[in-house]
Amino acid sequence: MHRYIAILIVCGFLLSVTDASSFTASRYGSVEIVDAPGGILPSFPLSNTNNFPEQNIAAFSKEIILPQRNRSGANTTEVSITNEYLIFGSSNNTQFSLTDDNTQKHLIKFKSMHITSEKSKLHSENKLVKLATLVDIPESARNGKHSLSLRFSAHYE
Amino acid sequence: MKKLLTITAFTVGSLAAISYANADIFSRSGSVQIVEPLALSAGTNLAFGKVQKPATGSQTVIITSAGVVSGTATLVGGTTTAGSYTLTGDPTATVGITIADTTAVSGLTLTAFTPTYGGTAFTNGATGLAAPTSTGKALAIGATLNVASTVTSGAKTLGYNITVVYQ
Repeated sequence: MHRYIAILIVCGFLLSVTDASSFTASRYGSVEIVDAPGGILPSFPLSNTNNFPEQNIAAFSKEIILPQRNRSGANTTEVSITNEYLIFGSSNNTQFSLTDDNTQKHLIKFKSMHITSEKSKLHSENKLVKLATLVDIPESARNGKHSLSLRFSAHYE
Repeated sequence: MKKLLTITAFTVGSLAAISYANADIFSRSGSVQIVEPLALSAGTNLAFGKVQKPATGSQTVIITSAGVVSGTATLVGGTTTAGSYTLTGDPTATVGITIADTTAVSGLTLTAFTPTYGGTAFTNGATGLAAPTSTGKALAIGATLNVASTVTSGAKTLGYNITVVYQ
């Protein structure tokens, strides 16, 4: 009987040693997830004849229908295109940019391009961005549809 | 009467003999080796900075144990660091080290841990690694963060357990 008791005590000791020979430490890393910029929503559509119907933060390239040219003697006709967009994102520094990708610059030019806030702070709320362009239509341009490409992009800095 | 005395004397003598045999003492020697306890410093934890949420599918941010960042996800700032700790323990006992993801954030998982111990890379879960020292050996941890499009935006806490075993 004493022998059995002794064996049980030794086994208990060994189990205790094994359990104490390892340990687990918990550690905690970190990451911050931010929304991708996007979600342009037109809030004020243009007229039926001058419209950028597609809303894409990466790029848009759409045809616009030019109005009848003014042949009263002016060399060019300016068409104002203004739109406003809602953009969401969650970065403190977002760079907006407009790029003239028009391949028919000899016919039609973007006379000016303007964004109300080129560098904005975006948080969880939407941000209203105003895009205003002025299209310069030379007298030599023919009536009809002309393809204009204007890239409107946003990216985090 | 004589017979009774004889039986009584025999019985007492037998009891005395049994009592004498039960008093034997046997000496034996046990052994034990005391080792220093294992300990891991608070160190610097993994940090993956600010990551843009993928539109679809899943993207990755990879940080090596040296702190080099790569992957398919778009980083938009913040601080990125590898995990960096000091393991102290007994200089005579080899160890095994296992790192496991315990992150409980939907859409985020840590995989492919790439640790180095004492400046040498080893496979996660390896055994027979060099014994630590009383002053400590460096344990650096890199990992891959998988970011699914289902994750919500905001600051997230990533969890991982580091298990060290004497061998």
